Parts: sequence; structure tokens; C-alpha cells
Amino acid sequence: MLMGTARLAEAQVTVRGFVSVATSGQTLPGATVALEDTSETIVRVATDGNGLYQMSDLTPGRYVLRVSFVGFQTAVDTLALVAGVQHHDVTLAEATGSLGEAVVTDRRSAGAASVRAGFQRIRPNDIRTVPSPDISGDLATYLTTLPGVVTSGDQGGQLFIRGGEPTQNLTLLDGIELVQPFHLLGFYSAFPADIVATADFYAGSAPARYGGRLSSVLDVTARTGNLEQYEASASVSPLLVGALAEGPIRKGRSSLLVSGRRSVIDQGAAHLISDAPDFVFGDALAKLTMVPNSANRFTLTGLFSTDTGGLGDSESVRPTALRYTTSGAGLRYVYLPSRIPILAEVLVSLSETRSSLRSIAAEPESPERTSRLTTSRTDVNLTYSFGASVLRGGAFVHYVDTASELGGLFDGVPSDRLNSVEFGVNAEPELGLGRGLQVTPGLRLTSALEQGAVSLQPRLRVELERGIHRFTAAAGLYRQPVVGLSDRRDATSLFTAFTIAPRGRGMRSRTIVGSYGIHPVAWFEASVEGYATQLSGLSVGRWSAVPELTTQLAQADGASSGADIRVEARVRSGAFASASVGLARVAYEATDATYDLWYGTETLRYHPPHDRRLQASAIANVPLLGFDLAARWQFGSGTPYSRALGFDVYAPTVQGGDVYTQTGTPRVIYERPYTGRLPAYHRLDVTLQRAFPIRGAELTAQIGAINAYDRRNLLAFDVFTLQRVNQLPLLPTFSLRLETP
Amino acid sequence: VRLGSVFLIAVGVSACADDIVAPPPAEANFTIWGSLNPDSTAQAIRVVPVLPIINGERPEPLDASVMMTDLETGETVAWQDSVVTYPRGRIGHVFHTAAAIPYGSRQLVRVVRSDGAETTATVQIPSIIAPIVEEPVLTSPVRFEVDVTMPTYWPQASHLDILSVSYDLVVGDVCEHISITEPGANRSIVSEADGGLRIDFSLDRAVESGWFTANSVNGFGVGPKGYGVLGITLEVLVSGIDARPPGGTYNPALFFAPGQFSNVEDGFGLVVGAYKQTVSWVPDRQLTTHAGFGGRFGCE
Repeated sequence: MLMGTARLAEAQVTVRGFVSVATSGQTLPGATVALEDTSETIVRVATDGNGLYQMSDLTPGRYVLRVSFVGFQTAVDTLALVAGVQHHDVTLAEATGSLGEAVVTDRRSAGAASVRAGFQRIRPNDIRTVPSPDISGDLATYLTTLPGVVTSGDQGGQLFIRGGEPTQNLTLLDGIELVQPFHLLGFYSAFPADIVATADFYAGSAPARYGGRLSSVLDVTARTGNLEQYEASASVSPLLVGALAEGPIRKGRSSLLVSGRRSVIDQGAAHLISDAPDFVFGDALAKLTMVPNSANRFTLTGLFSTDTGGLGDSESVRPTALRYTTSGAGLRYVYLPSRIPILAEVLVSLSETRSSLRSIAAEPESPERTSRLTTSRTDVNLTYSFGASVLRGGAFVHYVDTASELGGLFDGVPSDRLNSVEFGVNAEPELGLGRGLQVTPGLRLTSALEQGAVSLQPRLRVELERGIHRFTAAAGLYRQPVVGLSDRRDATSLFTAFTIAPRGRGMRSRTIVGSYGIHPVAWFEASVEGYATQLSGLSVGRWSAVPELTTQLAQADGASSGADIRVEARVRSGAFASASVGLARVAYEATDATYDLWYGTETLRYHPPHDRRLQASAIANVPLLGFDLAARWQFGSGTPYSRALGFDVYAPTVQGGDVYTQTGTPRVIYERPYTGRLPAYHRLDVTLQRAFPIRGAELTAQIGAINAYDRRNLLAFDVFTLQRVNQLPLLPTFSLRLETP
Repeated sequence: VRLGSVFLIAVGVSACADDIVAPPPAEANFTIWGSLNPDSTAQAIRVVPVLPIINGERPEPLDASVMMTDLETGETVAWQDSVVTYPRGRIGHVFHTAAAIPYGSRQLVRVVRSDGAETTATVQIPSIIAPIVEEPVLTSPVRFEVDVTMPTYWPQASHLDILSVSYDLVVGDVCEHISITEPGANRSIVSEADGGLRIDFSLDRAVESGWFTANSVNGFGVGPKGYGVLGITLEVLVSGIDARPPGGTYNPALFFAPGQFSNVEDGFGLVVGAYKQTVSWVPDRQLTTHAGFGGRFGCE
């Protein structure tokens, strides 16, 4: 087949190459590449996640290649194309002047309102529009502003996306699966804006090359280190200090980027507020890039992220200490054969997440809950271009090993260790059908050894662009073999145990998303999106009056639906504003024989704790007297929780028991599950910053206020002890960032 | 417009409130557990207050007074609080009294808080029952195999739990008499019969279980063949109707849910009337050998 493909390629012209930044060699995913003849644009494509563009089925001749990207000067080259595959790399020079002036033709591929049926490409500049206590910004801060993304607030480290649980999100960094990359302090993740090249975010509409999760995909590509010169930066804030260094190992051929951050809440925020969270977290990333020639690229990425935190003070009845670490390493190899228009990519990675929860005040021998999830992934992906279309395909083997020791507060220590091997193939042609219509059908075929059956997961994405209008729709079937269990009876519980879904009971979802976007003028864009998801075979923790977390599972089905409205405006002065409102509804139906005794029916209907009905956010950035003033306001309606009416002890004396010797078991007397609603959440963050040039370097200073009107937002509520833990109160911040050269 | 205004006001009000709305108070005041024993004058029940937080029991005297009223005679007895310390430092309040409780009576146990809230349990005390040893039944479900069932009839019984089976044995090798007790009642079936209950004790299933082999006492014997059976005694807990579980089978996992398998009003738990009764008989040696025990030994 490849021989045939090569002969076909020889008869026509394929031109391809990497688009990168002139000063750093950093590749630019999402750049617009247009090929024009004397009269019109022949073909227009965007660079992929590797920064690669490919155009096939061209006829030999002279063309103009025009490459543009937000924040960069448009590059124009004249190409004399002859038959065969031709490689033509393009470098872009950064634009001078304000962000507003730099906005060029490609605005619609990114930005708050540039959502296309659940898909959004997030760039570092998008992240930096959101005020953050740290100047550099963080992907987590941006994600929490998106409608449909529900968090427990500024602390928690968990994202619920369009009705899904945190463990139903797939997070990848350069192909490495990271299960808990979000820090306990909700502003931060293992992805500071400084290390992010792009983050492709699919809320319930992931294409066929992604699988294993029901809810969402966050595919982060880390920046490659500067291939041309050495750079460094350091920043300090009341919550975090960080540093980044990068530079060429061999100029133009290889580079290393190293980044590290650590929380300093004890040394910083604790002096500013009385009840600063008792969190310690940090992350480190290293990325080695090697570009021996235009046909081969290697990257080696390693990441470590750790969080330790206590919820509740040591005087409370049931204070707990949570710890989780995520580590991973992965190799990515990209190969471009010289004679055929194919891109081959091999991804090999290993990652592990360990978490533990311990009661601080309890006796030392009190059991600790621990959980581990180890993932090994090998993916081979091929991309073949033909005309305005692209065929993507791949094969993969993913191995997952889970282990948990779940010492309850009162019972024994049940343990669980399971593993799963899943393998399969996927294919998805991106068919450019002309007149702005692109159809991408996809199919993912998987089989998990322990599940036995083969799973077919079809996907479909349709995009139609007509003038200022854009219509997109996506639908798909998704399957997930790994189950994450959290004791959701504790409102905003943070510990998660991992296990493998029982044989024949893998979780599945069917999702449909549709969106409409309008871009009437260059500075304004709006979109509206609706979605509906049916979930089946969910494994949820079995409901019981026993106050402990176990991996005993009950079957549940569910449904989530909602609609979002987003608007965004960028004006030439550099001012920026965006706003979004999201409505959502999530409902589960759990089935278990024991429910009949408790509730008179075997099927229990409830709204799970991430059923946030209304969510809104507004962001504004305004240049003011040489400063940048930024503000963010967020609102989230209250989420459900299960109310405990009381507690007693189960100590029956039937069958000869004796009240003097029978200790009994503590017991929760629940109201019907999830009938309570926690208070609404809202917060205003404001920052004011300015950059000062200092001897060839740049010093940026920022002052700000987190939770500017001191809203008493709830973080955690322990229904067993009625212990309430609040999120951050009004926190004044002062941050500095020094960047060289 | 009016509907929109109401919605906005509702959102605004809910957005301003930052307190967690307290759940309605439980319609239960206390959980009470225990057995009233007509064979004894020492009665005790455990009283657990339904509290808003877990593990909230304290050793201080409980805000509760406990009374028991005989519903036939109207006689009322007051109980006293005591604190019991269980393993792992847990504590419980056990109320006790010295009172004779008539067989077959109905007792009302009331736990009353100082604000007047009360939890009650009406308890049926079982009557005195004289069990009747019935003729053994031999069945042959499979050719060349005989099942030996030794029934006892318990007239007017409402609920029976077999606590143990004791065997008076003679050890063939040394001709020594011993008595061993097997706890539980895995090989007995309780069924309704003629206004009472019948216990079908299966001797051959007792042999097949391997318990005798596994529990050779004092080094004697290596299995049932080494023993001759001189007598069998069942120890049975005779309970009132309150002890009969829904569905007929006691399932702790199911009955853990509050309100399940309970005779308590305005609270949770279970208070039953119960006493221990034994029944003994000398089985025919031929039948015991059918079941797998040894025959008559030379020393006997």
C-alpha cells in the first residue's frame, strides 16, 4: 500500500513542513497555512499538534505560501513546487506592539468563545487573560472559567466536566496520562502557562484517537525548550514560587526545558490571612527535544507533581490529611518519510498516581486509605494527507494496574488490586468536502483482556463555516474500564480510589454536542452550545449506612444535559472581555437490591454532587495608565449533598447477643441521598500589573486581591462531624516575575 | 416578566446565603437494643441517643430516663444508667434494672428525654415452652444413603435461635465419656408446625460437615467413627415474635439500614423478649451409626 501511495505522491505535489518561532525554534500548533495561486486560495490548513502542516494533491507550479498566527508577523514565501513530497519549514517572527494589534486572521481557532462542538484549543495567551495570584498563570485557572467545568472552588483539585466525574477525564501531557494533575489549591495544576504550547480541550466530544474516558479529554502539549538561545524566568507570589530555564544543548538541534514550582503558603499567604489552607504542593517538568533533521523529532518529557493537604484543623473531630502524587515520563517520536505524505508518531509513556487519606487526630494505628493507579501506554499514530482531507489512524496498547487499601474509620481494611490491558485501533478521516464543510467520521475499536468483549466506539464531527457563521456538531460513543470511587457522601470529598470495572460492566456514554458561533466583526465573537449525554454502566459506590469508603460497587445509569453561551471581545487597544453562562443538569439512577428495603424501590434516582445547575463567569482585561487591570468574577449555584439526619450505633442482641459485650457499629441515618444543596459559590479576583525593563531583562510586578469581597465560600463539609472548611477568604497578593534575557 | 423576576430574586437570595441549611431533625430520638429475659431479674438495654455527629456518645449521664411498664398489670419499673467501655475506647450507655418479667407478658419500654421526646418499644415476652422430642425420621434421598433427622416440637413458639448443640460421647479407644459443644445451628432447620415451631436436627449433616474431625477434643479420636453418641442437647434461644426477621432470615447487611427489623417507635433498634431453653435426648445407637458415628464399643 505504501508503494502505491508513494507512486501516487510522485505524480502530484505534497508540501509540508514545521511552523516555528524564529527566535526559539518552538513549533506552533494551530497556525494557519494558506497556499495561494495568482487569483485565489487553493487550500488552507492549520498546523497540527506538532506544528506540522501538510498539503497534498497539488499540481506542480508556482504558489504563494502565507503563514499566520496570533501574535506573530505573517510570513509569505513563494514556492515553485514540483512533483513529489517537498519539505518547507517556516519560521515566524513575533509581532511588536500590543496584543490587539497582533491579532490576525486566525482568531477563531482559539479564545473563550471559539468553541466547536465541545472542542476548544487553549493557548498560553488565553490562560494569561485570567487573573491569577501568580503572574505566570496556570491552565487550571483558565479551565475553571469555562462553562460546563465544575470545580469545588479555589481548593480541591478536581474538575467535573459536563456531568462527568473527575476520573472520567483523560488528561495527557505529551501523550503521558496524568490522573490527578490538578493541585489542591484550585488556581494551580501541573501545567503553568509557561510550559504549555497548546491544550486541546474536548468536553464530551473527543475524536476517535482518544478513548478510555467518558467525559472529557485535555491533551496538553508542552513547549519545547528554546533551540536558539538561553532563557530563564523566576516568579514569586504569596502562594507559589517558580522558576523556568531553557536553552539549546546543540543550537537548532536539541534543547532542554526545565520548570519547577513549589507552594509557599506557610511563608507567604499564612502571614496575610488567618486561616490559610494547610497545603503543600509543587510540580516539576523537564522536556528534552532533539531535532536531528527535518524528518525526525524526538521529545522526552518527565513530570512530577505532589500535593499534601489537611482539611479541617487538628482540633476538629475528624481532620484528615490528603496526599497525592502524580509522576510520569514519556517518549514521543515523530517521523516524516521523505517520499510519502505521511506523519508517523510513536508515543510510549509510563505514569503513576498515588494518593492517601489519613485521619490526623485518630490513634496512630488508625488505618489509612491508599490508592494507586499505574498506567503504561504505547500508541502508534499515522496521519496521511490527501487534498484538503486528512486520514488519521492508529493502534495502541494501554495497561492499567490499580491497588487500594481502604481503611474505613470504623471497619476493617478492605484491599483491592486489579489490572487491565486494553488494546485497539482507531481511524478517522477528516474529509474536506468544500464550501466550508468538513466531516470527520471516526471509529475506535478496543478490547480489554479482562472484559472479554470487543467494543466499537463510533465518533462523528461535522463542521460548517459560512462567512461569519460556524456550525459544528459532534457525537460519539465512549467507554471507560477504570473506575474512580470517591466517598461522595462526604460533600466535596477529595480522596479517590481506583479500581477496574467488573467484567462485562464497563462504563459507557453516548454524547451529542452542537454549537453555533458567530463572528460578525473582527473584535467580537459569540457562541452557543448545547449537549446531552447518556451514561450507562456507571459503577458508583454502593450506598449504605456504614460510614466508610469501600470499593463495593452499585450499577448506575445517568444523563447530563446543558447549554452554554459565551461571548468574547478584543479591541485594538488591548482591552479584552469575555463572559459565559452555563446551564446544566445531571441525574443518576443507581440500582441495588438493598435499596428496596431502604427506599421502597431498587432504583434510586438522585442528582450527584456535581450537579451544578447554573454557572457563570466574566473576565475583563483593561490597559490603564500603563498598567494592565484584570478582573474575574465567577458564580456557581449550590451542588447536592447527602444530609445526615443523625448517627447512632447498630448493636442488635438477637441470636444471643449481649449489650455489655457487643460494641456495635456506628451508623449514619441518611436522608434520601443528595437531597441537600450546598450554598452557592461566587468570587471576584482582581489584579493590577506592570512590566518594567531592567538591564535587558523584564521585571513584572503585580498586586491583586483574591476573593475581593470576602465571600465565605464552602470548600468541604463533613456530614459526619458537621465540620465546615471554607475556601480562601480575601487574600491580598503581591507577585513578582523576572524574565531574561 | 414576573416569573423572570422571581427567578432572579431566588438566584440572588440563594447566592447571598452562605450557610449550610441544616437538615430536618431526625424523627428518631433514641436507638435501643436489648433482650428482656423472663428467666432473670437482671435486665439491661443499651440506649443510644440519635446525635447530629458521629461518635458523639459521652460518658456523662444520658439525658434519658428509662421505664418499663407491664401492659397487663400496669406495674412500672424505673431503670438506671451505667456506662460501659467497649474495645477501642468506645463507650455506651446501658440501662439496667432488677425486675422479674412474667413469661408471656407484654412490656412497654419507654425512653424519655427531659424535653419530653420519647422512644418506645412494645416487647412480647415469650411463654414458657416445653419442647417435645419427636420420633426420628429416616429418609433416603439417594440410594444406599440415609439421612437421620431428629425433630423437636416447640408448641406456641414464635421464634427460635439454636445457640449450640452439645454431644455426650463415649470415646471408643479409651472408653472415656466426654461432652463437646458445637456453637451455632448450621445443620438444623426451624420451620412452622401446628401453631408452634419444629427444629429438625440433622445428625448425618453434622457428621458430614467435618466439624467432629476438625474439633477432636483432648486428643481423642480422629472423627465420628471413633465416638459413640450417648446424648444430644440443643440449647435454644426462645424469643418473642419481635425477634422474627422480615423474610424469615436474619441478614445483618440488610438490617443495618435504620428502621429495618425494628419494633421501636420514634427511634430505631430492636428490643426482644428471650430466654434460653434446652432440650436433650438419647438417640438410638443404630441411628447414630447410620449417621456415621461409631457403634457400641466393647467397654460399654
